[in-house]
Amino acid sequence: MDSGLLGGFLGALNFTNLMYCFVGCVLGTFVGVLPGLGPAATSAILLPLTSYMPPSGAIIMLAGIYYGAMYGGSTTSILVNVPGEASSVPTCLDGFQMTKQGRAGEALAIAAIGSFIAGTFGTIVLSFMAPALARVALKFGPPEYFALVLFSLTALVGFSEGSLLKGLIAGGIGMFLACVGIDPLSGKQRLTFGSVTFTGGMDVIPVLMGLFGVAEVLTSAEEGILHLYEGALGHLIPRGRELVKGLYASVRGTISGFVLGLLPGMIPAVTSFLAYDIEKRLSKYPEKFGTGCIEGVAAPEAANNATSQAGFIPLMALGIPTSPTLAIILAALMMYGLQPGPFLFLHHSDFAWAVIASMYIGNVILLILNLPLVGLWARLCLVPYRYIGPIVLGVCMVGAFSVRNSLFDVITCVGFGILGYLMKKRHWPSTPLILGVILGPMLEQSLRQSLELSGGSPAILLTRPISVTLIILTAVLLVFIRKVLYKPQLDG
Amino acid sequence: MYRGLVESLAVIFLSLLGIADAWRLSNLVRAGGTFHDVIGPDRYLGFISAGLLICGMWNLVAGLKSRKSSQRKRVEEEVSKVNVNLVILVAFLLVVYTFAIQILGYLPATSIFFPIIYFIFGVRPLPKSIIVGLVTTALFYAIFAYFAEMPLPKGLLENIL
Repeated sequence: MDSGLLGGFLGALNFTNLMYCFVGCVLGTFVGVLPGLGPAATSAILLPLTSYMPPSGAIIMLAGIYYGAMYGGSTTSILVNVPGEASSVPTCLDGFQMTKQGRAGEALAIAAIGSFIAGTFGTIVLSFMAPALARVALKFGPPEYFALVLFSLTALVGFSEGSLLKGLIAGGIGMFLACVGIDPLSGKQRLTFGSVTFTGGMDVIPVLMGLFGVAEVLTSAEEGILHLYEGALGHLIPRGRELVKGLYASVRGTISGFVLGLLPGMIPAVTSFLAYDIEKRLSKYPEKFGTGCIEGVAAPEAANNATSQAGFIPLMALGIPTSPTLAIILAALMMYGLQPGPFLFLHHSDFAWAVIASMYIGNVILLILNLPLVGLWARLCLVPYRYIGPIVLGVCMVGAFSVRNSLFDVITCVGFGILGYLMKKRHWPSTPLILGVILGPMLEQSLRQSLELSGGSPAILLTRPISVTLIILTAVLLVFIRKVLYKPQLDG
Repeated sequence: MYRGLVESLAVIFLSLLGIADAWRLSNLVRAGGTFHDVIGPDRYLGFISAGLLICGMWNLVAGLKSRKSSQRKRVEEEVSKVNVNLVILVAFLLVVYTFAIQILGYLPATSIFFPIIYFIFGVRPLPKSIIVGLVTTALFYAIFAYFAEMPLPKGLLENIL
């Protein structure tokens, strides 16, 4: 029976879930503030450890880390001109200028308020849209799922970071690696080359921990210690016209970030740039952007939060991740045997609604954490990376081992860590590889099931209305992402 | 350019492995004939591998064409060679640690790993990195082996722990 949002609140407000929500928000803000450790890396590192938690608590915590990092990312952008997250890069442009003018408090406050508006708006829409979309998705069969996975693979273009060819190769390698092991439909061994070790296949978690955790530490090992901003914060709440301008910009950032966030590949790092660009184009004084405009802080901060929240709609309703962190949350759901998609709301409605309700609570927790306690977070910049790096590496090693109690997974984690580092250094995007590992088996299985249904005729994919619509949308989106949406970011 | 060539060749090698395995599977599977599974385990793998082969070749050609710009980049990369040595050292230590866990067991291997990695990351003087490393090892063991009850490899301490 569908417990609904009210039932979800009852679930989310029990002490255990409330604690996991708080821990997720604190961890999220922590990694958001710390440059060099992102929500994807943190979620990947913690993923194996969540297997010791109840499913709702684990997902509530991982979700908290994701949207919490969007809040925290602005702090160092504004105070020390170092973005804690890639999505906070545009915040540096005006945020740090405001700090230099003695208006750091205003910038931090509008970033937190904008994030809260966006996060809450996103959660409200998620509450209504996800179950409705899930009901539509109940009509999906293998051909529709094939088209949907194909549609999601357009994210490869978005994650390609400037080189489509490299993105395609990385995605292809991910799909290739997903083939290692025993084919579930025929029982034949693929790419095992007679080795028993390979028959179990590549578990996605050690791959994730290597690519995001170990690689992140190896990359950050090259970075120096940051200096803490020691000036005054100024007054915390913007006044008069500044407040009004900031609030309007937050609303515009929320809308653009949310709408774009529904599309595969539209990660917060992209939409925050777009929101900044839109704000600049709409402004009566675009030449003042970059000199301390409050709109330049409010819009990107609202957009990155709205995007992170919007991503939960395709994830929960269709089982489609639109960003690396959401791919990790998808892996966590699968680890618990919870298949995201229409049946999540049908068979595990208590769980789904508790997670959604926790997001309302999480946004309030984050507002409290990021307004009065902002000075505390700013001091985190003092924690030298020489203490954090080794701990992250240690957790990755144990985490990779804990998945199947196998040293092969630890070797996989280290191998992918080195690969991930080399990819970063050589400007190869690593996210398409993960997307390939996760979506590859879904694509293959749905395609093969579709063709079994049709007796081997591929026409089934083009004769069913939903699948043909999604295939056309895939083609349109490919052109759209590449030609239109990426232009402002590349220009910037 | 050299490294770009290595990358492309690695992709091509991987794709050839896939094509070879798909070829092997096609002989096995087609003989059995599995219902309407027209794709089987071979054709999907073959398709992905063929795609990788094309992309790898494309990357190879593109790399060869942009030789001049790559040479310029090489000069920039040489600046951060000292840091790269640090990364190589950490990566090497991780590989050694992975095998040490297998041979020595989690606790002895980690007791050696953490002090060394802290020292490499810049915790000075050496006694401080040893103390911090041992404390971290103890915390890790307490959290994962006792509280989370993970069956960590015991190795040399099999009869003691």
